[in-house]
Amino acid sequence: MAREVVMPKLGATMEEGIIVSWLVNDGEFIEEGDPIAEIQTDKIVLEVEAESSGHLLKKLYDAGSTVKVHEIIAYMGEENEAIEQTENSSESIDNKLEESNEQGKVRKTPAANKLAKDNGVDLSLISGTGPNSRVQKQDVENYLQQDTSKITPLAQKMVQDLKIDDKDLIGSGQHGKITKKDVLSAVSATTSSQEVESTPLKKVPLKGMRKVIAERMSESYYTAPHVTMTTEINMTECVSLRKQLLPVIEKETGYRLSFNDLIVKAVAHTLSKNKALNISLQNNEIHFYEEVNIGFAVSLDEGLVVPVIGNTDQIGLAEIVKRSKEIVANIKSGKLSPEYFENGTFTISNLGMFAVDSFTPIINQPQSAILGVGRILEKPIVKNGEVVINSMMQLSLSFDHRVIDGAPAAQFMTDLKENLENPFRMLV
Amino acid sequence: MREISYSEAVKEAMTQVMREDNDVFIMGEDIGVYGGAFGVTSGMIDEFGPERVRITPISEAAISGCAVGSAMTGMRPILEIQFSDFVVIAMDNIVNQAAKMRYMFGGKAKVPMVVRLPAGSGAGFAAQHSQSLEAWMTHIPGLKVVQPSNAYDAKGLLKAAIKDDNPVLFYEHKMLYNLKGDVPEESYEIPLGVADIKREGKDITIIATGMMVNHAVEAAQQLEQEGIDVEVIDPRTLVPLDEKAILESVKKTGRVLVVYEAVKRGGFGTEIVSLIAESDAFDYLDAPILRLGGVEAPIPYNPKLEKAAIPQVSDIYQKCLELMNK
Amino acid sequence: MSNELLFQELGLDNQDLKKMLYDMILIRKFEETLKQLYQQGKIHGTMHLCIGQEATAVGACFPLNNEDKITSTHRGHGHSIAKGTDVKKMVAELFGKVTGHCKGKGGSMHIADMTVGNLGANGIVAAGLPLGVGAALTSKMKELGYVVLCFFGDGATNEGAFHESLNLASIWKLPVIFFCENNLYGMSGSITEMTNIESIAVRGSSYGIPSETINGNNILEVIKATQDAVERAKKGEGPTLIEAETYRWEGHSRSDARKYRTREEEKEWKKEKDPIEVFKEILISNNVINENEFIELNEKAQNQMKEAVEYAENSDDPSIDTLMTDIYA
Repeated sequence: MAREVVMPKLGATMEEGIIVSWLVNDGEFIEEGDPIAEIQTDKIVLEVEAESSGHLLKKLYDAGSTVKVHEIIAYMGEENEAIEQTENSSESIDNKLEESNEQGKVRKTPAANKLAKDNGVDLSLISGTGPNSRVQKQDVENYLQQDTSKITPLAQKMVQDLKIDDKDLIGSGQHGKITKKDVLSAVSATTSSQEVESTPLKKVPLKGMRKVIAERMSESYYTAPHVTMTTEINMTECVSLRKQLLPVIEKETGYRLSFNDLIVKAVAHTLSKNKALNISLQNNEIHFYEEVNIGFAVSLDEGLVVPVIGNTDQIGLAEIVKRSKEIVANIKSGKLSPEYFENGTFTISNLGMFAVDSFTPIINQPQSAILGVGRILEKPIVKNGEVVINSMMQLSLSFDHRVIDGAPAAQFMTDLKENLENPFRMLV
Repeated sequence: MREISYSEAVKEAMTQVMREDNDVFIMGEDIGVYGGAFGVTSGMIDEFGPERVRITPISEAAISGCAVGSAMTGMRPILEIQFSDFVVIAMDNIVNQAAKMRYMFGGKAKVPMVVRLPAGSGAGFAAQHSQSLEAWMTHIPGLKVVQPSNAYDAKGLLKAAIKDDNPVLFYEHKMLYNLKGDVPEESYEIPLGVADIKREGKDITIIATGMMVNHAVEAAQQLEQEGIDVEVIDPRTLVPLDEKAILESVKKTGRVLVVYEAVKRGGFGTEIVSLIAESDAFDYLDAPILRLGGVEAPIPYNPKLEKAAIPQVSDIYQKCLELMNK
Repeated sequence: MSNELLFQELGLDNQDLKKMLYDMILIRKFEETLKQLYQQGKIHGTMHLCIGQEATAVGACFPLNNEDKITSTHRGHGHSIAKGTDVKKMVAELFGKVTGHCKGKGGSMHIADMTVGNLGANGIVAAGLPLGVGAALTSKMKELGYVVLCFFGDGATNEGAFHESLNLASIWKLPVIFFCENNLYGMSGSITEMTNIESIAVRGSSYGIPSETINGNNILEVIKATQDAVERAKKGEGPTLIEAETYRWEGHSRSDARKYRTREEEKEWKKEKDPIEVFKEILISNNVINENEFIELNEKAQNQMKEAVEYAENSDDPSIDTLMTDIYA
C-alpha cells in the first residue's frame, strides 16, 4: 500500500510551502528519517523526512512548486508498486499537476512550444492569452522580445542600479513582464555580467536556505529605503550589572547571562515605549503591533536564522536567558521548529563576539527596523572633564524610511542609550 | 486577357484536345443538341459529329463500363455523368474496374479516361442531385480526383486530366458554371498535383476546395478590414495532393482552417487535417486546426435550409475570428 | 377495340368517370400554376411537368385502392395527385414550406405520402422499379394483398435496374405492375435512337412477363390494361409490363429549349391527342357530362389550385434546426 508524503504544516500560520528541491528521485530507496525534499516556508528551509523506509514512487510536483499544507506531494511504497488512487485522488493529482508549473502541463500550442524550446524558455513563466489561458506563439514572442515596456518601472530602476543586462532576466509577471522579484532572483543568482574570470574552486547552486536569504536580503535592500543611525553606548553599568546577575541567573536557569540578553531586554523595554518602530509594511498597509517580539540573528553553517522571543517586554531577564539559550541550542542541533521564527517585530544582529565596531544591518523584512550591535571595547572617554577608561559599544539602527521618520528613530536610540547606561531601571 | 465562363472553359479544353487527338471522344446523356444538363457540351456535336460526341441512353452502369473498355483498348474517353450523384450507379466500373485494372494486371493495362461530374448544392435540386461525393473517390487507389474552382483552372486541369493515362474523376461545381474568369485562348495545361495560392496571407491558412475556394477568398477580403491576413490555398487536385504547398503555408501562418462543401464527417478535408497533424508543420501550429464542412444531413430543398447545410462566407469569416482568438 | 365498346366493357359509374376527368383537369391546372409560379421566381430548384400525360397517371391509379402502392419518378406530380395525395401539401412542398409533404426538404422530385400508398417520387432514373419490387415482396411475404404500380419513363428502360427488376419480379411472381410512360424522349434522347426495338413492351418477353403497348392518352385503354394487370397480380400470377404511349407537352425541365424535337410534332400531340379532350369527348358522347359541367370542373380545379397556393404562401418556412432532424430514425 503506497504511503502518502504530505506538505508538512510547520507552524500555526503556515498555509503553504515551496518545494525547494527533491533530494531523491522517483524509484529511489529512502531510509527512515532520511530527507526526501527541502521545503521552504516564508521563514526557513526545512527537510521533509521519510517516516518509514521505502521507495519514492512518484513525485507529484516539480521543484519550485508551491503546495498547500497537508496536500500530498509524493507517494512512497514498495519498489515499483502501483499507486492506488481513488478517482478523486487521481483527479486531484491531475489538478495539482495542472496547477503546478510543470513545463509539460502548460497549455500551449505546438508553435509556442517549439519557439519556447528553441529559445530555452520555461513556458511555465508565460501567461497564455489564448483560449483557456493557452500559451500562443505570440505570447512567447512577446516574452522573448521583452523590450523596456516588458519591465516594471521599479525593476527597470533596479536593473540600472545594479548594472544588470536585462536580457538575462526572465520575467514572471503578466505576459512575461520583468518584475522586482525577477531582478532579485537574478541578483541572488550569480549573474553572468558579474562573473569572475578565474576558475572557481567549486560551483554550488544557489538553493535552499542560502537562496531564501539571498532573496530576502536583496528584496529588503532594494525595496526599503534604509537609514542607519549610530550611537555609542557606555556599557560600564551593564558590565557591572551582568557581573552581579551572572550567578543569580545561572542558579535559576542553568544558563549564563550574556550581554546579548541584556541588550534584548533593553531593546524590548525601549520598544514598548516607542511603538512607532514596532511596525511592518505589508501589502501597502502599515501594521502596528501591540506585542513586542524581539528576534536575534543566529549564525549557522548554512546561513543565518532569526529566532524570536515572544512578548519580550513582558518577561524577566531570567526568562529571556532561558529561552534564548534553549532556542539556540535547539537550532544548532538541527531542530528548526517554525514556531521559533514566527511573529518577530524587531531584530537584533549582534556581532559583538567579532572584531567589529559597527556595521549597517539590513532590515529583516517585513519588520521595519533592526539594531546592529558592535563589540564592547574599553576606550578612553571624557567624563566630567576627565579622561577615563570605560566599556564602550556602538549601536546602529537601520530603519525603513518609508514608514519610520528620523525623529521617532532618533528618540528610540536616545531612550535605548538611556536604558542601557542605567540598566537597573529596567529591572524595576 | 479574354473572359469566359467556367462552363465554356471546360468545353474549350475538351474541344482543343479533341482537335489534336482523334482518340479523345466524349460520351454522356443528352450531350448532343441539348448540350448536356448544364449546356457544357452545346455545339460540340456540330463540330465533331455524333461519333465523337456520343449521346448515350440513361445507362450509367453500361456507359461507365464502356468507357473503361474503350480506354483500356486505346481510346481516351471523356464520360459526362449528368449529375455527379448518378456516379453511384457507375461505381462498380469506376472502383472495381478502372481503378484497379492496371495494378491487378501487373501493369499490362492503362485506363486513360476522364469522368466529368457536375456536383454541389445551391440550385435547389435537393437530396439526390446536389451531393459532393469526391471523398469516396479519393479513398480508392488508382483514381485521380480533380476539383477546379475557377474557369482558368478548369481548362488547364481538364486538359491535363484528358492527357493523363489514368482514370480521373473531374468534379465541376454546377454553381460555378456561369462564373467568368480570365482564360487564355491558347492551349495550356495545369499539371495535376500542383496547388495554387489563390490569395497570399500570413495569419491564417485556409485550405478550401471547389466552390469553397471562392467563398474563402471572399471571406479573406472581408477579414482584411479586421486586420487579419488570410492565405487561401486551393489544392485543385485532391489526388494527387500537393502536400508541400499546404505544409509550407501552414508553417508560415501557424493557423489552419479547412473548408469543404461535402459532409464534414469523412470529407476530404479530414485527410488534409490529418496530413498537417502528422507532419513537421505540427510544430508551427498556434491554434487547433479547424474544419468547416457540410452538415451531416442530406441536402434539403428549402433554400434557407439548403444554404444552412453547407459553409457560407459568414461561417468562414467567423471561424477565422475564432482562430485569431477574437 | 373501339372506345364505345371499351366504355361499355369497363362499365364505370358516372361518379368515377367525373372524378377521373376532374383529376386530369386538376393535374393540368396544377402543372400550369406551378409553371407560372416558377417563372415568377416564387419556386426555386427545378421541376418536371407532366402536362399532356394526365391520362396515364389517372388511368393507372384508378384500379388501385388506397392500400395499393405506387413508385413515381422525377415527373411525378400527376401520379401523386391521381393516387390521392393532398394537393395543398404538394404546393407547400414546392414552396419549400414546413407544411409540405416532406416538410420542405424534398421539393418537386421527392413528394411522398405513405398514407395514400405513394412511396415517393424519385430523382434517380429507374430507381423506383427495384423499390417497387421490394414493396411487392413485402405484400407477398406478409400476405397483405396489395399491389405495387411502378411508374417510369422510356429512358429508364435502358438502366440496368429496369432489367434486373423485371427479372426479379418475374421469378418471384411478385404483385407488381411495371407501368412505362413512353413519352418518346428521355430528356433529349429520342426512344428511337436510344433503343433499337419496335416497342418497350417487347422487353417483357425476355423476362417472361406479359406485356402490352397501349395508347396512353386514351384513359379507357389505360384503365383497362391496368385493371387486368392488377387482377393478375392479386391472383398471384406475377408482374405485368405496360407501355403507355404518351407525350409531354413541355420540355424536360425548366431549362429545355426542346431542340431535339420539332414544333410540328408537338402541335400534333397537343391538337389531336390531348388526353383531356379525348376523355371529355367520350364522356360527352356518352352523356356523362355536358360542356357546362366541363367548364365548371375547370373552374373548380382552378379554385382548388388557388386555395392550395394560398395555403402554401401562408405557410411557414421550416426552422433552421429542422436541418438536422429526420436523418436517423
